[in-house]
Amino acid sequence: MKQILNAEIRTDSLPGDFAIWIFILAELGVFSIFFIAYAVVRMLNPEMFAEGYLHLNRAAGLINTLALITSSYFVVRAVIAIKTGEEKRCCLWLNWAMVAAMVYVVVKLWEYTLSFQAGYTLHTNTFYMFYYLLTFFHFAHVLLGMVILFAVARKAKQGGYTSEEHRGVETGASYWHMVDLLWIILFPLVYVIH
Amino acid sequence: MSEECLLIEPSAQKVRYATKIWLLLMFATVFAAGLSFLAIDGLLITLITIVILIVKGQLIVDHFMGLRTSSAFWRAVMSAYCVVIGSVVLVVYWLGK
Repeated sequence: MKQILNAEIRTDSLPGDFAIWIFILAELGVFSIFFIAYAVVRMLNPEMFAEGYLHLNRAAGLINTLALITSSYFVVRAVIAIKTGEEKRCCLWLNWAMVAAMVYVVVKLWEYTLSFQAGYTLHTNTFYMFYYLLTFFHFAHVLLGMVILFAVARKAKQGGYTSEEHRGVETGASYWHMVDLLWIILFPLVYVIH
Repeated sequence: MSEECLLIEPSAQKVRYATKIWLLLMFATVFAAGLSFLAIDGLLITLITIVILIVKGQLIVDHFMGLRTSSAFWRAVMSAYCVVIGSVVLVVYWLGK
């Protein structure tokens, strides 16, 4: 009986607003064009991409992946907290998620700085054009995600969510996990496969 | 309601489970990054990397996004995304060898 009371029923309802899932679908579609274009252009210019790969900062790519996965985990903890009615704990986990996201931002800016200082710009060649466009497009999504997390954390702090009504937290969390998912694909595509 | 539709997961268990998934994702990431330093055939590394990508994507879709216990349709869409992109990258890479 106790087990049944604690049970989570499988439903057809989505976590968060339906609109965010349409947005996520659109974002995945746009990124898929970038991913496939990157793979095809690399196939057509193997030497250029092999040369460019050697100058990539793979340590930065690894740190950023670990930072985003950790940030996503903190967001999961925030959703679990709000579902049990712990608004302050939810806010705390969202703040930690933003700290982990800030690690990504700092490391990415450091990576861009080193790359620019080495003389590699958007106009260097096709590899760098794709590298900057793809990673910066994702970077912009991380910044937008941080704004969303900040807004959700602020509302949670003000008691705007409860264990019964927390759709806003789930909506922000879904967007953030999408950002993480996209990086999970981008990281091996750019930094691992060669 | 059928028994399989019920998932017994109090919040403490959810936390423990999420933590295990997080650690698994971290380990898979470090493992994949380590592959890039090995002097193994590029196609083999690409194949292993794509498999890791798909597994990590599925873990995020199921356990972080929470689609394992919600919409089957959206779970299928999100899961298929990682499989399709990974497969296309693998095929394109293979064609380029």
